[in-house]
Amino acid sequence: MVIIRTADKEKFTVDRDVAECSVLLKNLLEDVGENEEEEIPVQNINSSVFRKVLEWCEHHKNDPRPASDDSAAEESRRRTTDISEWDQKFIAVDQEMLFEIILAANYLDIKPLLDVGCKTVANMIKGKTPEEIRKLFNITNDFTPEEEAQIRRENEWAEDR
Amino acid sequence: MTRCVLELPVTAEYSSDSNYIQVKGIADEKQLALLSYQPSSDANYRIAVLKIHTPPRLLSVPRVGVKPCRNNDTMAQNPSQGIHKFPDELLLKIMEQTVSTCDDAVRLMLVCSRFKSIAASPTIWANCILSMDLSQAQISAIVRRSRGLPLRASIIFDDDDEHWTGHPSDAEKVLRHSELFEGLYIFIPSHFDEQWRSLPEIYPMPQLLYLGTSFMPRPIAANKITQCDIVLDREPYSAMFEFLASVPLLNTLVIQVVFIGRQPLHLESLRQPVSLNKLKQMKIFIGPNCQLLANLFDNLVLDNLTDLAVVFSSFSIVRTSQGAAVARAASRYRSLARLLVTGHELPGSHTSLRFSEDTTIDSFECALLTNISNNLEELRFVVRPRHSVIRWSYQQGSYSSPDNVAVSIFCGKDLSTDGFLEIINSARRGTSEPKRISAILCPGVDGNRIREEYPNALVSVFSQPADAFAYIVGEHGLFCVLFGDSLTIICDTDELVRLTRDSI
Repeated sequence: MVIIRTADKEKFTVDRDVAECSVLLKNLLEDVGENEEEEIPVQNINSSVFRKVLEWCEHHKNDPRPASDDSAAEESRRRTTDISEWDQKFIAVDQEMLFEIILAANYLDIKPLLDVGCKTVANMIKGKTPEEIRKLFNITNDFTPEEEAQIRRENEWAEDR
Repeated sequence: MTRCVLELPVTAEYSSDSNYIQVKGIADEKQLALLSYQPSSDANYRIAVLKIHTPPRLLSVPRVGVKPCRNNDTMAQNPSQGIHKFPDELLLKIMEQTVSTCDDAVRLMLVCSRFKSIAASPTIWANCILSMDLSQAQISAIVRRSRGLPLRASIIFDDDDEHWTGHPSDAEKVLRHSELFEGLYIFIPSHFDEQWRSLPEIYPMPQLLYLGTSFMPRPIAANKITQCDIVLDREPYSAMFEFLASVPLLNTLVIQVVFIGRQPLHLESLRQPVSLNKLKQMKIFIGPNCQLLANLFDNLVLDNLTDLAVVFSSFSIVRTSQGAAVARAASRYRSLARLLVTGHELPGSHTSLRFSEDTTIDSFECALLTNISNNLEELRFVVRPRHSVIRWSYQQGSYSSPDNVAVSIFCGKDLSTDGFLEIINSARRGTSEPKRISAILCPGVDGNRIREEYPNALVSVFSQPADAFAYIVGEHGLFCVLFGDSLTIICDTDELVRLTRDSI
């Protein structure tokens, strides 16, 4: 077991196998060796998000770990947009939590979870108009009408059939 | 191994935007609604999509080290909120998965200045597929904006295409960029100039990793190809082995047998079997009225094969002997971890498509007739209604089950819940419980009772054709069928077979 402390000072006692889903934690644990007393701090993640990440790691702890040198397999995994049924249910959270999970997966270096998060956001974007995307993510249109017209002009060929 | 087109999942609970996009402009509103799946769909729905094109398979090509070309002064949004918390690299990663056309990329550019900067990245444009329906301006722009990154190309002609003369030069606007191709998918009418078979010699493709063709290519000189979809459509069959021998780095192979014949094809045994030591996944699609190549496996040495799937068309007469033949062939591959034998099925289609009563595989018999490796992680036989029973493999003199043999599909219109349970119990014979049980088009089966009986299994009951259709699409990819008197195209993620009206 290892002890992990989140940004809001909450401590989690976690199976080593589960923690090692994260490449970052795996490397840190290798540094601290077998010293189970030592707390591992994760500075950028609060407890509610970390709890969710742990839920994912617990479920996937026996999955084969992506080999760091197998870039082709990684690319293949990344390119496919399908998400397993369990992961779909896991990631069915509000948008803010979804983004936090993605950022946590990125920070902790959990590539498969990062892929699940990114695919989920990608699926939300697919097929939507610029206005729909802005509305979905609360993005301000910071183009002036002239700038927008210019982009359209520059890309007129895209509609040239 | 099974994914739907564009690789979005489709289940009864999850509508398929990808399928919608795929047939947009081809299917009518009602068909689109079905493909998007609505639980309230009319039980009498029929899909009548005439034609559909599968995009080239996605490739496994790393594009590392390319950063988004964003200027810092374009950050106009509040960086501490919502999606703006993401660094550019993450946004790029997300965007890459949303773009397959110029339209997609331009749409992203119009969202805001930050999106515009990131969407201008070469990796975004390298995701756009060069295809025949693009204008010259579009093709040039993709090539220019992707800045030399490898590209994917798709060449598709119809019989009635005014630009089709049969010669590769018909596709010159795409093929002129062949040196950039990392993937090429070709689907052309059956009457074509032989030069198509030697395309990589005419148009060098040094970066090619994926080749998908609707014909059998000739052997390719030094190449890096790792993924292939090929069609065995005519004699000589030896051409297939000659081609396979020329692609030693092959990792994934899909063979579509569309040569029509009532008897299994017998290939002449080679003096020296073709050794494909890198091959890990092989899928064989047996088209309507086609038979499995009887001694295909005798001619292939596959020491590292982990996944084997044999998919029989719904229109094939599939008998237990064929399932057993596959299982027997599979048993020689010690590295095999997963074996799938399946006959495609479309709900609500029995009458109009005149399914044969013989179209069934008794996997129990298959297991008895062979000696499937104990190393298998997954053994799956998917069979069609009436005689559909999944049974466990027979090993070492007793009924036992590999731990992960988990999928059961039972179908039957006249089946009661008791009958359904009886079949499962009979098939189990005291071995471990199934993990998944699906009742497709079994109107007499009460799902709650099945769940009570098997509380640890994932039980799904699909009573309506639309439900079943969505389920099957989710499991096996997208089918496109013209009901009535003929079938035009069946389309799945990993396999595509074009069937003319005459071939049915």
